[in-house]
Amino acid sequence: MSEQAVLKVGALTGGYSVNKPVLHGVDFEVGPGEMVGLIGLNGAGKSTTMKHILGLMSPKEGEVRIGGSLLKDDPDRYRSSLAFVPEAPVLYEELTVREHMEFTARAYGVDHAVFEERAERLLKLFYMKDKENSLSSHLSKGMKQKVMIMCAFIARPPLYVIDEPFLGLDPLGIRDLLDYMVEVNREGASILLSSHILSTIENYCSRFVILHKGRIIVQGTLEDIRSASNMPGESLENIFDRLVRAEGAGGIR
Amino acid sequence: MSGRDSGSGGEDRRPSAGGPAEGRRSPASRGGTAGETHSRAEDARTENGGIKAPTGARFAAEQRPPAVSGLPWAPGTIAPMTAEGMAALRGKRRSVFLGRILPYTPYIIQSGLAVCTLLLLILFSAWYTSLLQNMREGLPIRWILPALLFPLAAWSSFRTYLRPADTVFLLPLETKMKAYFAPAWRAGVVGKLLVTWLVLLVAWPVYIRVQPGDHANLWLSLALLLGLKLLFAYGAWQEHRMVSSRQADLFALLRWLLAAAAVLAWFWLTLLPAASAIAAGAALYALALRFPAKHRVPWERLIAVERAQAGRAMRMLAWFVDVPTEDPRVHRRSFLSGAGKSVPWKREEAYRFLLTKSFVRGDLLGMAARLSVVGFVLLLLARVSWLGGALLLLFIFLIGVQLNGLRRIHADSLWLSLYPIPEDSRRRAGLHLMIRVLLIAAVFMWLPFLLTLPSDPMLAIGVLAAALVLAWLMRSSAERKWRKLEDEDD
Repeated sequence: MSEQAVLKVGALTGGYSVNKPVLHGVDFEVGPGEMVGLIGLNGAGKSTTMKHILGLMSPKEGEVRIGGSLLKDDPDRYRSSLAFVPEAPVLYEELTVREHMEFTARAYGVDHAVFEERAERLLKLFYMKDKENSLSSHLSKGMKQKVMIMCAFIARPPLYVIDEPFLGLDPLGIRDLLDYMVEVNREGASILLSSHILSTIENYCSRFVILHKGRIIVQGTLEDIRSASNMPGESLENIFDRLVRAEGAGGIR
Repeated sequence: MSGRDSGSGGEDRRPSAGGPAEGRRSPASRGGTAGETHSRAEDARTENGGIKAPTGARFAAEQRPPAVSGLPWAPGTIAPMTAEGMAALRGKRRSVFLGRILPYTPYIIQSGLAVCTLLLLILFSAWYTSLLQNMREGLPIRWILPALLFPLAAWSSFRTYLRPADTVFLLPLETKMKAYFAPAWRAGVVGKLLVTWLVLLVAWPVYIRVQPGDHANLWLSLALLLGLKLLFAYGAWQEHRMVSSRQADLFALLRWLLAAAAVLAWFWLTLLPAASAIAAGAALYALALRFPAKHRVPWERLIAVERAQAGRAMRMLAWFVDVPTEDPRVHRRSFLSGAGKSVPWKREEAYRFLLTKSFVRGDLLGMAARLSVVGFVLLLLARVSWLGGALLLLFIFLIGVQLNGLRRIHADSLWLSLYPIPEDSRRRAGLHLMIRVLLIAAVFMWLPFLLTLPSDPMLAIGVLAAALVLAWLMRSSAERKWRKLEDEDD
């Protein structure tokens, strides 16, 4: 997988302070058309890992490559290959829903006609058609989250980094988002997804990376993780519970 | 709250603004033992009517080294929210806010504001002395004085320093918030009252020269303004409390109309009818204020107003120094919703689209438009001489200075650091918009010179040429400055 990995996080060590790294040798890949779940407790280092991938933080050691390039090698290509959905919506108060999508499409160089078509579909899919001309300051939290998601899907890059996308979404929104993720996945896009709703992502992600206190304790398909933890047939939630509690008690016995 | 002293702690390096809480440090906060902190917590609980403190809170206080909080109770204690404590909390927040502003004062003085103000003061004094010495017959002072005073009488605002988190943490104390708001209310009235009195005192010599026989005497007028300020500050506070924002808007309008009516009545009617009319109006207004449904504490509105006021203060500061401005206010301006559509659909121009949208819905457009309209009106009067030309250049300069703020729009935007947008987009788009706005404003303000064109074409065309050159120079100067600041940022 190594040569063709869309995202390669190699031996990444880093954090907010140079002397106290949050991440310790985090090493994983996301292949083309893969959906990988990044899971861990609060403070495990999921968002910090994502910030390193986005280039908002610089690694102390190790590297992050997207499509084989480092951010500093080819910033334009790196940025164009990536769309991000943050945990808490970050919107421009002075833009309407549609204008957010338009700005994203312009920034990613999406063709005008293609934008119109994608925007129509996304607005309908997420039940936001009647809000397309509302200023973002007038939206509910769930609607703001939908704007973030729609902006990411307007761009259609090869890699999506999605941080806790289900927070604040209504049940229909969650289902539509999952369906849409499957669709872009099938079309070849890769997704790195962080979520606490393990019972949901268990059925959608092809592989999982379990982070605990800034270190990967296990990664692989659900089957790989089951056999590594010696819990055949168990749900991801139960395995995660056992692994993390065991880590707290000094490792799995 | 036992054990307070007035010693000053050395750890808090924020500039002191003399808030009520400033300088109050308890011995425990500087090095008290866990036991002392504990007993303080116990005291707090008994003072608070026997409320049991959660064990976790006490535990946390024992574990952490005591920090200087600037509040009159030791860190980690369950604070007794007495009236004194509430007032101290606002005082602390006020000094924190001033601590952010005051360090910039030297830059503001260096920026030429001090010299400018002094110059204007000298010019005003000279003009005012000559006005008093050569008093014109029939000066409409009975109109001028009310026109100066009524906006000052009606103008009310309060700095509450409330924050969004207060809807969680202070909400349970809603019934005690009066003590928190009292200093905000006092500060809101006193400062504005002094300005109002100052204006009256300065204009008074002119008034008594023009209307020596009038009933309005100085002391009564000062007392009237005090009464009006109190009444309208009370009214403005009640407007904040109203559940319906429509009703609040109507009452705000009523406040301004009544202020104008009261001041006009005072200077136009004889004493008795004036006093009776004002008293009756005030009583009816106070009565009317009782009817609309109100919140006990209008949390959300006060937080929004506070945010806008803090933002305004930072934006004013940004005229002089490069400070991060807070969330700007957004105006819908539906009639301009088509702006940005014509920006070419290219990645290099994507930021121009965003900036155009932000500009048409932000404060900068309002400022540029107001200056242009004032300039236009003044030039209708001054278009016949070269003085008009100088005035046009002054207004272009002022608008150009304001438009330097375009650089700060979206300075810290997450999406601009993530989206694949060329690095120089922000500077290019900012300068592009700046020159366009400057040219439009320059041509608009020059329009009065069309009337001068037939009689003095040299003047009209010369002024236009000078205006266009200045607009271009403002852009070039901004480009140099922005590049320099970008280099410094790098």
